[in-house]
Amino acid sequence: MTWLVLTLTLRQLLGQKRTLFLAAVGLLPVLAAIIFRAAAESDESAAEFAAQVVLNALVINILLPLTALVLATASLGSEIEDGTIVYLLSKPAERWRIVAGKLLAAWGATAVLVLASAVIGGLVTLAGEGESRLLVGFVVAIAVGSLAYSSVFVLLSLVTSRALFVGLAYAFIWEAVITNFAPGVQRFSIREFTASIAEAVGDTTPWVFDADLGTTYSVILLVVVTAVGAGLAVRRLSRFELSEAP
Amino acid sequence: MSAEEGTAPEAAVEVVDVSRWYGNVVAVNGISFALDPGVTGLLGPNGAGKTTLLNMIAGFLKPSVGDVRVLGESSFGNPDIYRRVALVPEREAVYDFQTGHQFVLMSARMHGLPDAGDAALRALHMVEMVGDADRATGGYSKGMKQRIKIAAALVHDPEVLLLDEPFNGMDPRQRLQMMELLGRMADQGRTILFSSHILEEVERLGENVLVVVAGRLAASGDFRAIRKLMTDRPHTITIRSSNNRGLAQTLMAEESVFGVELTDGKIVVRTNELGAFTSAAPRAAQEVGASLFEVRPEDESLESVFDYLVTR
Repeated sequence: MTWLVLTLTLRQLLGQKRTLFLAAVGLLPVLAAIIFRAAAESDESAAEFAAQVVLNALVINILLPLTALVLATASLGSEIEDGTIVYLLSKPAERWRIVAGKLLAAWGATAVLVLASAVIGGLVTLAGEGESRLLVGFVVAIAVGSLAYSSVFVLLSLVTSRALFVGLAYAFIWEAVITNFAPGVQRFSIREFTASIAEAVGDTTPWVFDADLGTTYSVILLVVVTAVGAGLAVRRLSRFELSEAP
Repeated sequence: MSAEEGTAPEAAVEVVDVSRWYGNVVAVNGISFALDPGVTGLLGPNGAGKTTLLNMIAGFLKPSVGDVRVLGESSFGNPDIYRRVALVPEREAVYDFQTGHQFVLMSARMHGLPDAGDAALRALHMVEMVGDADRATGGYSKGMKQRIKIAAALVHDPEVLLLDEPFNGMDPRQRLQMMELLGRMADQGRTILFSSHILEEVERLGENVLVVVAGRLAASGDFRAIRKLMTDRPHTITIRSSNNRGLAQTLMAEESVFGVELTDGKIVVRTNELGAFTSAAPRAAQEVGASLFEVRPEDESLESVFDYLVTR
């Protein structure tokens, strides 16, 4: 069942205009990298630019939450909206299998889109400067962070029909604005968890990239957020009512 | 089918004093019935609560109060029930990018059927969709979408089949073919409950009928008895003729007429035997030498028929 739901959802996501829009947004980090290469007089600042601007500011801060939000809410929310969810729910399968299929599809699609943008943008910026460890750090962080975001946003689409709006508020008001003014709340930000993984795996020097949270704390929180999000989604789907517009 | 006393343990579907409300709105109000194998029509005007009732039976809605049991089990929050039960929803949406065959095959695979390919093909044959099975469902007509949804629901050979407005969008030939199919399935011992707001659909298929109006069970039982109730209800008929006064006097003597009013250039007649009145009226006009300009039944909407059943 999980595999059937996964492949069905990937076909759904690939056929949507919103996926094309996300692919277009994914060109922004690549564009920034190309402009940097064209304008840079030396390669001294390439690692800083790649880490701080291309991979952190553009990919982790904007592209990752936006892509995860749009794809995760589309993967389950659009089926609830158009009523096709009944074709999945009317099968004798445990509900966790449906959530797993939806979550894996949303995660896979998000990771592929965001990683493609991050790797191309990073490679163009670094242009063979031997900072591959930095790039690996961000690749791992994005892969893990996209799973946590997807889990939260799949749950959100089961809880409210305004999942896109609520998710945007979380990613671009809570994470992007409020955490800057109230540093304590960084402890509740998937973006900060992701950045700290990038720093730890990439083994970056502080002037190249410096995250605010500890690695152990971030790893634990990423696991907790992913597990709790998925678990609550299963619980919610098990008691889901068809005409109950969430 | 037995209504009200519906607690027979062997019943395929048991609905016991079930209500469902959304906030202050009561969608279903204290309904009880039990269904045995056979075809039952769930008749009622739009918004009567038919879909809410079907969704509760199918386990997709939890009753606010009361109990719903299907094949002896509670249906809500019990996915295992779908090994033996199927629902064809009213909403038209299917996965537009899939072909009809892919849609039905996916359903068979999700049921974990060992011979999913054969089961899908058999279901497509049953609804006569083999010829169009390789086309994308996005290009299907409404009737074709209905049939492919029914094929997907039949793929695991369910004992209980629930269909919400299944004949919507079907042409008369498809409708007849579908009715025959459902009739055959009922003859094989399956329990089939389908909803409709069209009297004739229920009349042609459902031996048993449940009439739901404004969330309440207005009538239940053998269709012919309910049809007679509907036909024999009081009717109001307006007549315009060349001799209203003379015709009114003659009609007053008819047994089928229990009220005549002469007003504003017309006669308003009340009868509770429509069949007898339709023979009596022309005869009476002939007797008094009146030419009939207009004979118009008032308030013949299905809603008014349902209202009568509720208030009788």
